[in-house]
Amino acid sequence: MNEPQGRRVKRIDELQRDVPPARDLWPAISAAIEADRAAATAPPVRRRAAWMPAAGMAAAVALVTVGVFIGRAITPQTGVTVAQNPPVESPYQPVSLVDAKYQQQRNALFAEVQAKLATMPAIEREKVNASLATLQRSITEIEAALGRDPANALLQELLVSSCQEEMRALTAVRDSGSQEI
Amino acid sequence: MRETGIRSVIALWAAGVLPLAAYAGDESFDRKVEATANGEVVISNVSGSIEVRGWDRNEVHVSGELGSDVERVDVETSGGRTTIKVVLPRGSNHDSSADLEIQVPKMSSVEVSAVSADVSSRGILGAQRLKSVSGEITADVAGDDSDLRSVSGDVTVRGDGKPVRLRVSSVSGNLDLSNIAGKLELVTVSGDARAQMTEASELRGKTTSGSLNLRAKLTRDARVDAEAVSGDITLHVSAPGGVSAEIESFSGDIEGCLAGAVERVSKYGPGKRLNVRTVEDGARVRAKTLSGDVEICDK
Amino acid sequence: MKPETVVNFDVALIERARQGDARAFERLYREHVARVHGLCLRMTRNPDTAADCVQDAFIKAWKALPRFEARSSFSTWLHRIAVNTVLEKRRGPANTEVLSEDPTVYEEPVMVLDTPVEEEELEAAIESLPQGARDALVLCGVYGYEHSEAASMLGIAVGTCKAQLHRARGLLRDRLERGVR
Repeated sequence: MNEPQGRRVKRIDELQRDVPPARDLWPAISAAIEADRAAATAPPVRRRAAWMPAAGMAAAVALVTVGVFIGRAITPQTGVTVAQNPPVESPYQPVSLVDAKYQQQRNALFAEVQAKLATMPAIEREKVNASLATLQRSITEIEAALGRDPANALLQELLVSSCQEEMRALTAVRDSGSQEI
Repeated sequence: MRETGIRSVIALWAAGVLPLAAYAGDESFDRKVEATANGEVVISNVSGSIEVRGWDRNEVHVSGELGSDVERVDVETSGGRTTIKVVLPRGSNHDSSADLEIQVPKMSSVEVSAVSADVSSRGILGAQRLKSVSGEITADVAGDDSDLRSVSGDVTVRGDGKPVRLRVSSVSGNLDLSNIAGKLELVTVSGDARAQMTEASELRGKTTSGSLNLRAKLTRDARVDAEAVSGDITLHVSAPGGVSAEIESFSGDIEGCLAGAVERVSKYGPGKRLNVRTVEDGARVRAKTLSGDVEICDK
Repeated sequence: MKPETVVNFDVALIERARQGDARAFERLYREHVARVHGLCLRMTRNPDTAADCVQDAFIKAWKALPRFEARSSFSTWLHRIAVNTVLEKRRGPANTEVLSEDPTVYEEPVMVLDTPVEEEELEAAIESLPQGARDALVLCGVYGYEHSEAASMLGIAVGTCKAQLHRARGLLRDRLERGVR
């Protein structure tokens, strides 16, 4: 199989000088700048009680920024205020959008699981539904975090693991009670 | 029980039409068949309970109480394999439960498949594959390579302190294991998982939102892997020569008594890690969470 | 090859940023972050540390803007801050290895390879270099700084910088198993 060749160079100075960071670093910088400006312009006697700590402001800016593009991709977002600075597209795409085959398998499995759940007593059905909802929420939470930090290896591992776990749980429910003798 | 019915059954059995030891639904059931000392016993029941006990005889003895809607219990044996199956009529929704007590040769490997029946086993020295959808599973495990699974039922396991390979999983049930040795894998989605190992060479625990509480004496070169998304992880593990640890959490806290400092992955972003290296090629513990807290101690 | 000099439109942005316009500073950030990050990444060899250094560097740059002289190159000034940030972040004693400073040996300008190599292979070889050699090679070889400029940024003598570059050349030759002229 022919694999694509990387770019070849003959001079050291032909190497790419520009290497963009994996995630947008501006929010934290912006927060520190705001904190610096606030410290410089704050009235000497009274301090406003509503100042957020720099980290909290950075998180809020990041979340709003993320919310704009995550909202477009995953769930509808209403009333989101666009950050003062335009959001930067994250290279991360939710796995459900990228891997059509995975999504197809998952949808098919999900449909079979719904049919199986319908045969279960109500209490058991509720317990299992709650677990499956927990898994979906976790996957969404991890994907949102990856949207902010796409190169984070821990998040990538947890996402793969959680998606596998969801498939395992769906399969377990679908196959449960099968008498295979 | 109607006499006519029994006479018909006997006649059909004598004519070789019915399988050996089939029995039409009735309130009580009792049947015994010859079995291989280390054969396979495969049991399935929809609702009620299944108690499996190991004994010293080369026989499988099935007894129990059957609900009025149970059509029959099939007991068949062939080539070292004994199958016991509770048969219900289609669309049955009345009293279709069967409470069975089954005694099997203790060296048998046992496979149980239940829907809402509770499953318990004791005195089995062979491998066990116990599955229940919503029933609880309670097992004494001594045989190597056992696998216990439930969807929403709790699973309780007690080992005998001898090394085995064991996998226990549930979707929403809790897992509680004690006196286990050898290699253990625990998986749950939202249930809480707790395991106490007297000697662990391999320990893997995974949960999504439940808590994971693992206590183990590790072998010198043991490997421990624990993972949770939003659930908390508690690890109390010790090993000869000490324990090396790589702990990472995206937004949870990391605490414990290991000699090492928790550091931030990045000055501006989330993420904490704890790396402790006490001995080269020694016992190693890895744990990772998204938002769950991790507590680790080697005492 | 000299590093790129400031483009004219930067002058207006810098002036607005010096007067406290955070949006102007963000535009400067977006224009220069990839190059600053590439520099930090090659010097630190760690994406998380590089990201921290980039953020620290831009925050320091914001605070130091009033002292920036507009006739100087903004990118060089920014890189100087970034290199300082990396050096401050390094733990342990500075590299005190003594190298020969025979000036006749070290005057080669640009490093050229006998045969082209894949970019990835060359980056990996550079990454494997000892710290001092790598610093000199990154600043002079990749980013085109003169020995005197690189030495000033690194806080070392010019002769030492040249010696480190010579050492880098030899080590790269060994690691790539090709001639590095």
